Order: sequence, then structure tokens, then C-alpha cells
Amino acid sequence: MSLKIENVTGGYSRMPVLKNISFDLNDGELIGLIGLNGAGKSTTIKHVIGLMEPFEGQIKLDGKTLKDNPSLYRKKIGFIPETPLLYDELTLKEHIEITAMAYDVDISVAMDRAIPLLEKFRLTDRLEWFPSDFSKGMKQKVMIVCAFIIEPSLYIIDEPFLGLDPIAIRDLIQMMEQKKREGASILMSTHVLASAERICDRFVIIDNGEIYAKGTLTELRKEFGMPEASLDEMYTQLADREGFLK
Amino acid sequence: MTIEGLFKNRQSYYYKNLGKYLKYVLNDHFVILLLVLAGATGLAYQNYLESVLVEALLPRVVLTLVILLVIFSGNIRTLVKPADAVFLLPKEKEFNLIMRRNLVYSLTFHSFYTVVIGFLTVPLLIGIEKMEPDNQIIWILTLVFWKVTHGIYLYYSLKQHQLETSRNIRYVIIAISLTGILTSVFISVFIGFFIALAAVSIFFLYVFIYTRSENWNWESLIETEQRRTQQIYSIINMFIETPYSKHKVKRLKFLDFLYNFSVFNQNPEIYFLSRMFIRNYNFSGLYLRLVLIGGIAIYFSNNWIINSVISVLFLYLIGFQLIPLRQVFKKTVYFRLYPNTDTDKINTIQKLLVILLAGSTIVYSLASISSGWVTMTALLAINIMFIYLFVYGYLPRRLNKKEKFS
Repeated sequence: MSLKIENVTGGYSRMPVLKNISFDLNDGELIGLIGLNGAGKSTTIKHVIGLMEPFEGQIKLDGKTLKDNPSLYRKKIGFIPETPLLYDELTLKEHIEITAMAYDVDISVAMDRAIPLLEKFRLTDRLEWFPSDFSKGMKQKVMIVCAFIIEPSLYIIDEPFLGLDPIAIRDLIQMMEQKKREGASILMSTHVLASAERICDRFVIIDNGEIYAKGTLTELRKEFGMPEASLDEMYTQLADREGFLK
Repeated sequence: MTIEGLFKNRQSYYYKNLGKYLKYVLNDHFVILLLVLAGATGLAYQNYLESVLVEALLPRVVLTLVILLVIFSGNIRTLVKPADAVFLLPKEKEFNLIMRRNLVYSLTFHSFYTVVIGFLTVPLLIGIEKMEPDNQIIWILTLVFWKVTHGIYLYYSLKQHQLETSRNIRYVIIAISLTGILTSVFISVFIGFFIALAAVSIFFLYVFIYTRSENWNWESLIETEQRRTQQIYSIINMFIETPYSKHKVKRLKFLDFLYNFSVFNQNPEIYFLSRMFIRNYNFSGLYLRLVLIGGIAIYFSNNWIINSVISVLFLYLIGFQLIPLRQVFKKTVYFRLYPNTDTDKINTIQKLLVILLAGSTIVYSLASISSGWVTMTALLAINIMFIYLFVYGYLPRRLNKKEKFS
């Protein structure tokens, strides 16, 4: 799986939110999308999953854009949104079934894949409940389960750690690392820089809709002349010095 | 902004909004229908009064039930919003004043219709010789006192109490008002009046002197207010679509067998739509009501023309009210993310509508069996024709038109 974002400019109205963004994501790679609130992280994600169309530039998954083959493009993506999006009228089990149906996974296969995850997240005895009544963290777990059962080749995860308990964060990180080993790519946006530093292979720092810097931790340290600095230290100092988002 | 100003703004916004929608509800057709209904009911009531027997039990029971319904219905209009539990929490003292105003306002409004109902029941009470015409003011005051007692109880129930205390209070209120009303209807309007007077005075003192300092239960304040506005908007929604219809979702596990039909598992669209339709009372409740009302109307009529007209009218109402199902897909992001979802969503809605309309046709035909096979066959044939035209002729055109303009 490779995701190629080439010179993408886009936004909600005519005023572009994203300005000429380019970066790649390779097989088995985890990229952390980092930026302040309103920097353009979620907008970038919306463009990748196809909820928004770029004004200019192209987004290619394995060399194909969304328009080339919508259903193939979409099938490759598993998306975990920042705020859990659930059907008010469907039970947890039915969420798994409808996801399986939409992504052409056999329902029994989907259930087999879901059960270990549900056990991990202690959701097994809630299969018949409406997830819309769950707490924020549990809703997030449902979203994670639904994204992982389709076994996509590209995971797009927006702020995965918010609301999750420490055990679930550990489990999610393990699951992501497992998928990476199996060759899937992950694009993750996050504010939890300590976790990001630990698990991401590369970082893309976005500010005000533009890419400010990208590269591995070592590359970033070298670029900003801050050897030994943690991602957190580096980022906050940078943000202060550069006056991000002003 | 003061808290008073905040609620004043809310109030004017609330009434402006309500007025806007009421204009659509009270359209010419509906007003004429209401007038005709009121006229017919009035005439029937008058005829009944002339024939009512002094010793009859039934009118007393019915009267008691009507009065209980009037007294125990209604809520206090608080205009509280969910966010208030966070933002207004430090202003509980000021909020007390607002709540007292809300109580006075709601009591005035409720007393108004209680008085109207009271006047309407006066002739019946005179008919069963429980009352002299001169004493009607006593009867009406009794009703208002009960209504006020109930209103104060509602006010009281929005504060924080021990679970046990509030349950006991509820039982006492129900028991006393039942005793009082039964006394008025069966024994003496005077004794009933004094029971009501005593109840309202004692309860007033209890709530406003004895338990005055208790805090508000914000969760129940919010929940009650949302339920209240929901009730209002669920009525308005039968006439015009408002953005205020939050769905009530029930699990309804006993209906799970319905989802075994393979037609409901063909694609994500129909999978979601079928379950959503059944569990969302906005849709299924509407359908059930129209099927039932139509069925009863047809059952009581023997003329095949009238039966067919009623059934087609109700099929049209059902179909028309379900057109907003289209919005459900628009509101759900997933149907833009799923692969293969460029499938025809209108097709899915058509499929569900055919099943639902066929279901109601079956009910209507069964209801008309008593009028003979010919009537039933005619009804069935006309209904099938209508369903075909509505679902495959009218619906796609209507939905496509909506698509273009939205």
C-alpha cells in the first residue's frame, strides 16, 4: 500500500484550508500527522478518505485516485474518526454486520475477526446494546473494532487515544504495530506527542494548512538543530518560535 | 447578560419558532376538519346529555377519567437546555426566581384549559344531579385547585430528593386527588371542594416553606424539558418537517425475528433502513398509528367506495410521511464512505415502502372483509394500483426533484 498526496490544495469554501500539501506513505509505515487545533489535520484526512475533493492536486492510493475506481479505493481504507460516528438505531453486533456487508467481508469472517478485539476491549457482553448509549471511550473502541475487521491496507486514525483508558491505548498501539508488520500503512493524527514519538516512523508537521516539516525524528532533530530533544520539546519550542497559526 | 435576560430571549425565540410551525399545522384544511370534528362532538354530547340517566354509573366513571387525564397531563415549561447544567450551575439562586416564574406561567396556562373543560362538564354534572347550576364555580375551582396541586408537584419533582421521599409524595398526591375527584363526582361537590382546598394549601406550604432550600435536579430538569418539547414537535412533525425531531430509539428485541428476512440483509442501505425504521418511533409509530386509524375507519364503513377512498388516503399519508427517509442517508457519513454505495438509494426506499404499504393494504383488506368479498377485492385492486403508481411513478420523481434543489 502506498498513499501519495501530491500538491493538494483544498477546503470547504473557496478559501483553501490546505495549501499545496505533498507527502507519501509507504507499505508498513506509520506516519504521525502533527499540528495545532485548526492546522488542517482533519481536513487532510477528509481529503484522503474522499469526503472532500481537492481543488488542485491528486491523492493516489496504489497509483489510483478515488475517481478511477471509487469502490476499490474505498475498500482499502479503514477510518476511525475523531468523534465516534455511530448509528443510533443499530446494536453493536449490527454495526459489525453492516460494516462487513458494506466492505464485502463475509459476516462470519467479520465476527471471527471481531471477537478477539471485543474481548480485548471487554465489549463481548454488550453485543446486543446500542453503542450510542456507551461512554466516549467505549464508542471509540467500537469504531476501532469496525475499522480493524475489514482488514484494510490503509488505516486512517484521527486522534485515536482520546477517551481511551490506558489499557486500551496499550492494546491499540499493539494492534497498530501488528498491522504494520503485516504490511498495512497507517496515517494517524494526534496531539499525544509522547505516544506518537514512540510508535510513528515519520512525522508530518502541518501548520496553517501547509507542511512545515516532515521526516523521521532524527531528521527533524537535525533540521531544527535540536539533538536529543523529544518530539514534544521540539514541537512546543518550534510552535512558540515560529508563532504557528498566527 | 443576566440570567433573566437569557431566559427572556429564549422565551421569545421559543414562541417565535412555535408560531412559525403552528402556521403550517393550522392550515385551512386542518382548521376546517377540526371545526367539523368539534361540531360533531358537540352535537353528540348534547344528544347524550338529554338522554343521560340520573343514576347511571358510566357517565360518572368517564367523567372521573376525563378529569384525571386533564389534571395529570402537562408539564412545566422551563426552557432549560442541556448546556445549562454546566453554565448555569453557579447561578442556582437566580435560577430559583426563573423557575418560580415558569411555575406561575405554566399554572396559568394549565388552569385556562382546565377551566374550559370544567365548564364543558358542568351540564353533565347537573344532568346526574350532583350539582345545582349556581354551584358551578365551586366545581371549576375544585378542578383548578387539583391542577395547581399537580403543577406544584411537578415543580417539586424537579428538585433533588431522597428517592423514597419523592416516591411517597407522589403516591400521596395521586391518592388524595383520586379521593377528592371521586368525592366530587359520586358524593358531593362541596366536600370535594374542601378536600381540594386543603390539599393545595398544605402542599403549597410543604413545597415553598418546608422544602424551599432544596437544590435543583438538573438532569431531570433537562430531561423533562426535552421530553416536553419533543412531544410538541412530534405532533408538529406530522404536518411539517422540523429540525427538532430527535429520534426516540427503542431496542424492541421481540421484533428481531423480522430482520431474518433476506430482503432486509441485501445491502447496507436496506439493512440500516429496515432496522432504523422499526426502532425509531418517529417512523414506526407514525406508520402504526396510520395503519390502525385507517383500519378502524374501514372496519366501521360498509360502502366499497368509501372504504377504497379511505384506504388510498391512508396509503398516501403513510407514503408521504415516509419521504424524509431520504434524509437519513444524507445525514449519515458512512453512506458516503462505504465502497459500492453509489447504488441507488431511492431503490432501497422504494423497496421498503412497497413492503410497508403492502402490509397496510393487508390490514385494510382484512378490516373490510365484514363488508363482503366484493368490497374487499375492489379495495385490494385499487390499493395495489395506487401503491404501484405512488412508489414507481410519483416517488422517484419527487425524490429526484428534492435532490436537485437541496
